[in-house]
Amino acid sequence: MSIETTFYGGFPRGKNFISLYSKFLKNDISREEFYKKTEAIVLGLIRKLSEYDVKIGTDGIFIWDDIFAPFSKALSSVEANGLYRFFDNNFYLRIPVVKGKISYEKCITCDWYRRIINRIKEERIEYTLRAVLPGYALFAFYSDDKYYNDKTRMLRDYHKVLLEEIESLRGIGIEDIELHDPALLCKEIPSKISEKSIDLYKSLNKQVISKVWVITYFRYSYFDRLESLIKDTNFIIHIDLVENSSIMDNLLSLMDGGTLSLGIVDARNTKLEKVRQLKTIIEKFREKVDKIYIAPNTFMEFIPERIAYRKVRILSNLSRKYR
Amino acid sequence: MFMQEYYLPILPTTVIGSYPRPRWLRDIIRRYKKGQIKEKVLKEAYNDAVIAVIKDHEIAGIDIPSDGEQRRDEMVEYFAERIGGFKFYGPVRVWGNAFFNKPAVVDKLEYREPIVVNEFSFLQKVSYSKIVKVTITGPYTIADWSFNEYYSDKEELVYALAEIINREIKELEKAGAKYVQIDEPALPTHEEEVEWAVKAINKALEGIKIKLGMHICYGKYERILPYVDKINVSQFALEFANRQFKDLELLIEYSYNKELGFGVIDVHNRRIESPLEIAEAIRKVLSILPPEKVYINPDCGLKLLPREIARKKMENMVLGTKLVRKELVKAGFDDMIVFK
Repeated sequence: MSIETTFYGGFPRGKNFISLYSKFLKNDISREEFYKKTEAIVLGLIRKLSEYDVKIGTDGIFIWDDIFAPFSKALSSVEANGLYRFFDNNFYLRIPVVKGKISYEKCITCDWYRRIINRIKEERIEYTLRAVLPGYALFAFYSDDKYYNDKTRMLRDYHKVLLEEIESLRGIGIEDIELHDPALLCKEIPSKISEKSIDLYKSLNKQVISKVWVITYFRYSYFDRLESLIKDTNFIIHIDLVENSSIMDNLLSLMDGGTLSLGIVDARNTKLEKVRQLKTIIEKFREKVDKIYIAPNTFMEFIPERIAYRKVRILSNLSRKYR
Repeated sequence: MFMQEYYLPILPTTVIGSYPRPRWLRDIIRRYKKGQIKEKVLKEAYNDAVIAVIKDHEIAGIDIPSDGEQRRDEMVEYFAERIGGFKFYGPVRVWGNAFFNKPAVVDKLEYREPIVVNEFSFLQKVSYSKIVKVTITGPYTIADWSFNEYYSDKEELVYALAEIINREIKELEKAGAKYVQIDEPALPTHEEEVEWAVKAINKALEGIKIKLGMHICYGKYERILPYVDKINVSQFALEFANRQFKDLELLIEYSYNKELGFGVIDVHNRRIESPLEIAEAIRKVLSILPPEKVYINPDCGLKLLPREIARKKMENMVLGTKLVRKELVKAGFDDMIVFK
């Protein structure tokens, strides 16, 4: 079994970036200057993470306001509107309001990602950049549908958009895509939506060449849906074991080789985990999977930057024990 | 004992709490943090800012003003800085580019000294209105928006905070406050915790005789509406404009019968609502609740808006309210209500 450290979605923004972004929002600096300076900050993050043996991850999605923006700007007939709480967190997002048939306009993030990829190459950092996108159930869960009157129909069009976006990203050299889908297994999701989402994940599995990671987190209510994702797709599924430690035995019984991502440190609390405690979890999976990615349970924007680095270091110390 | 009665115009207008800091205050705070000016200067600047805010409220015609929470950087952080047992590790994002220093509970919590009593005393001294609103972050929200590294579980932490908040409200009551609003925006967040959270919040309100309100926003109201009669406050100030007034139906569904602080201004949108729009929204709520039970306020604190926009939004809120007041008086309602 091999083991590698990673993280998903947003990384906490440091004070430098907060002040830079604030200047940009006030039009005190140009977009180009903002991008240039953000590029340097992102490179700093990646450099530091690679010191902790993190060789694959995101760019911290610093230029994203939330999981939907700016990606939703790539969609026709979709506008960002009311501010809504992101699950049970003191963290809010602007929900997508769907006012007409969804179609793909252009890749909004490609220019940005291209810049980061080039800088990673220039600096010769060993780091695979993953792009972040909202998963099916998450999009359906938070969108305000004013056109379809049936979110499963809306998801069919969203599927086409995702295919095009994934293809665009592949065109600029991004082969790894993470689809965040905390809504897929949550209690509040209507079964019609989650079932449709699972079907679409299965279709996506047949249609894309890129390596897809489905990132699930927070409390699960439907283990069977998770089972279906693991069994019926080649995707790497990220599982939040901090919030769902009770599913461990079921999960173990399901695994027979393959790759799994395990969220084992709590990205919603500052209390630091002990490596030896985490090791007991990994030991259980040792004979059951070929490769494990260890990660925080969810994206790390819920904790301060310095705690996030400490948590990554804990993961990295754990993975070193398996070399 | 003789209790003085206070009167307010029907559909009293108020604010939720926070208001944009004047640019010069932000500059002084920044310089203070760099060690360039003395604390005495900062304190004077805070007082001056409160006077400026009160003037903005007065010009807009707000019936129950607040001090705009000018001394508070953030609603949880401010209390955590003044209660023993908290530690700060750094900012955490809330949305967009808005952050707060989310505190961590690392030791047994301890009430050190009054937290907002001085704020209230100054506000009352400079206010044009006899009734002012003092806001206090509730125990559940402080706990929910903190990291817990010390208490065995969240419930234990909330009860510890409830004792502290109860002491603070009692201090405010002693100092002459007439209206305290408990801010509990986190309350609808975790459905499975509401039952015990309500009991803990009531601990914080135990033995208080002055008017108590509660502000809740950006959550699922269906999770708290079944509990409103169990929470010992006379008013709930709720956000409605942000959700395009869609959840008004829930008030009927849950037979809501307390006073309502009706949110008519979207505080996360720079578009200024017109008085006609606001009047229209108020008419909607009056089809559900009698006017004597309705206060008019923005959805939430105005602090994230540019000051000019915040002021204009408040002014239009009052103008819109006045349109409906006229209609009510014409329909035979008294133009004043008793503040209770």
